[in-house]
Amino acid sequence: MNIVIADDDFFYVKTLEKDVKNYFSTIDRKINIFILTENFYSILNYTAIDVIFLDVDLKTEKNGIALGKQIKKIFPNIILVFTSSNNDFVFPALSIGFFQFIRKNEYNYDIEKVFLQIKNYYIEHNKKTIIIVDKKRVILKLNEIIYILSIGHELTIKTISNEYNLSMSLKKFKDSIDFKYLIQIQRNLIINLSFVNEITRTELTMNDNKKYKIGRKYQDSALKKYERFLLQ
Amino acid sequence: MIVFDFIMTLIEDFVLSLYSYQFFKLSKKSYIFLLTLLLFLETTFFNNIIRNNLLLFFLLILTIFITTFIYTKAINLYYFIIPAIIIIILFLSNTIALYITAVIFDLSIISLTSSSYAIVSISLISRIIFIIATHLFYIFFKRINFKDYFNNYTMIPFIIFILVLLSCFISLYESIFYISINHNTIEVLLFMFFIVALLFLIILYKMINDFLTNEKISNELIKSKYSQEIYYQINKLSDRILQDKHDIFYTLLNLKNIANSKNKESIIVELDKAIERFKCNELSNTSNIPIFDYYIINTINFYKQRGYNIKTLISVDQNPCLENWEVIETIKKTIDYTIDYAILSKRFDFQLYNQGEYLLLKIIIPRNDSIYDISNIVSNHIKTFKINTLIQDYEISILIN
Repeated sequence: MNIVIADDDFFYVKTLEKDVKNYFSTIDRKINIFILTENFYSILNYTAIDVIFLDVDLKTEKNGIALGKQIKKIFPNIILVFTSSNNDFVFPALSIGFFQFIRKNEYNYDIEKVFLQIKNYYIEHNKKTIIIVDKKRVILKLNEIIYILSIGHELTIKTISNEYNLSMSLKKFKDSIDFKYLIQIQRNLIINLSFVNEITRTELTMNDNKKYKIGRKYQDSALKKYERFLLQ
Repeated sequence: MIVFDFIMTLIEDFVLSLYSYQFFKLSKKSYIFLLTLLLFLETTFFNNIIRNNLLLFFLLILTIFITTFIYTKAINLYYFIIPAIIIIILFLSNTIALYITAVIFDLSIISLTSSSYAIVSISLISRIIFIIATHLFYIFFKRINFKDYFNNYTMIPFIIFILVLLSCFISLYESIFYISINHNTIEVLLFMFFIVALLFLIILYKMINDFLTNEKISNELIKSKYSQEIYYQINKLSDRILQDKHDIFYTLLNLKNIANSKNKESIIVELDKAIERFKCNELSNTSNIPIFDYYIINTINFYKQRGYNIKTLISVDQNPCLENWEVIETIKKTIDYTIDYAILSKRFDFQLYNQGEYLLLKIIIPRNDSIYDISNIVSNHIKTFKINTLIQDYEISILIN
C-alpha cells in the first residue's frame, strides 16, 4: 500500500505519519509512506499511489486543490483525502471527486472516522483475482479493469495499463469474481462503473468518451446498479 | 313570427355592438347605433335571402373590424378577437338553449324545429343566456389589457383557430337546425377539423415555449431575490468583521503592554481569552449560489452558532439541480431532520458532491437509541438512498436529482 502525506506543517506530518503507520499496517503488511513537505508537484512523477493526504492550504503558488485535480487525472482510482486548518470545505464551482476531508483542529475526532472509511473502501476496491495468460499467472486488480469483452471462447480484459487475452467464457469469469462495480451491459460485454462518465437507459459513455449500447435485457438493472454505485 | 324574428335579431346585434363598444373603450355612442344597424341589415338579409350562416359570420366580424377601424383609425388584431369571442358566446347560448328547450318540451333536438313554440322558446332562452354570459365575460376581463396582449402577430394562429372553430360550430348548428347534413357539409367539416388540429399543434408549441420562458424568468427572479438577501447578510457580516478587527487591535495592544511588563502568565491568560473569542468555526464559506446559500449555508451557520459541530464538505460544480427550489427544500428537510436526530450529540458531517447529473448528499451522524428514518424526508427528488450502520455512526447516502 503506497501512501503519500503532502503538507508543509512538519509537526502535523509527523503525527499523521505515526497514526497512518499504526492503523494501516493492520490492513496491509507492506506499507510505503512517502512524506512531502516541499516540492509537492513531484507527486505527479510517482508511479503508484493508493492513498494521499493532501493539505488544501499549501503555501505554494497553487493550492492543494489545484494539485489534487492533477493527481486525480493521473491516478483516477486514488483515495484523495484533503486536510486543512479550516473547519469546512466549501468551494464554489468545484467538483473534484475527493474521498474525505480532515480538519486539523478536530484531528482526533476526524482521523478515527476517516481511517475507518479508507479501510472499508480500500478492502472493497482492492479485490484481486488470478488469471492465466500464456501459461503465466497474472494478479489482476479488479478495480483496474475497464471492460471485459467476450468473442467466442476468448476473453479480452482491458485494464488501465494492459490488455489480456485468455480462453474462458464470460459467465465463468463473472462467477469467479466478487466485485459489484463490474456490470454486464451486453451478452458479451462487462464494464467497470468506476470508468463510466454518463449513463442513459440505452447507452453509456465511458471516461474516454467511448459509447456502448446497453442491451434491452440489461437496461433496468444497469441504471439501478449505476445509481447504487453513485451512492458510494 | 316575422316581427319576433326581427326583434330577436335586433337584440343580438345590439348586444354585440354594445359590448364591442365597451371592450374597445370607444367614446362616440353613434358607434353602437351605426354598428347595430349594419349588423341588423346584414343578418336580416342573410337570414331571409341567402341562408348562409358561415358567410354571415365572417361578414359580421369584418363589419365590426372595419367600423371600429373607422372610429379608432387604428388596426388591431383585438378588433377581430373580441367579436369572435362574443359570437362564440352567442353560439354556446344557442346550443344550451336547444338542450334546455328539448328538455322542457320533451322533444329530440332534431324535431324541435317542427314546433313554433319550441323555436320561440329557443330564441328567448338563448338571448337571455347570451346577455348574461356576455356581461359576465365583460366584468371578468375588462380589467385586463387585452389590447396590447392580442396586438401581437404570434396571436395569428390563435385567431385562425377561433375562426375555424366557430365555422365548425356554425356548420354543425346549421346542419341540425335546418336538418341539412349532406356529404358536402361533412367534407367541409373534415377540412376545418384538419386545420383546427394543425393550429392546435402550433398553439401547443407556443404554450410550451411560453411555459419554458416563464420558468426561466421565475428562476432568475428567485436568484435575484436571494442575491439581495445574501447581500444584506454580507453587509451585516462585514460590520461584524470590522468590529472583530477592532477587538483584535485592542487585544494586541493589550498583549504588547503586558509583554513590556514581562508578566508571562498574564500573557498566556490573555492569549487564551483571545483564541476563545476569535474562534471562527461558526461560519461556513458561501457557495455563490444565492438560493443555496440562503437556505442551506445559513441553516448550517445558524446551528453552528447554537453549539452544533457540523463538518461541512461541499464540492459541487455548476449543477442546475441546486437552482431548483424543490431540491433545496429536500436538502433543507434532510438537515432539519438530522438536527433533530443529533439533538444530544450535537455533531454530524454534512457532505454534498456532484455525481454526474445527480447530487450525492451524505450525512454521517453518531448513532443513538432511535433509528434514522429516511422516510421522514418526503421528496420526489430522492432517486435512491442507502444507510450504512458503522461502529458508532450511521452513514446516510442520498442520491438527489
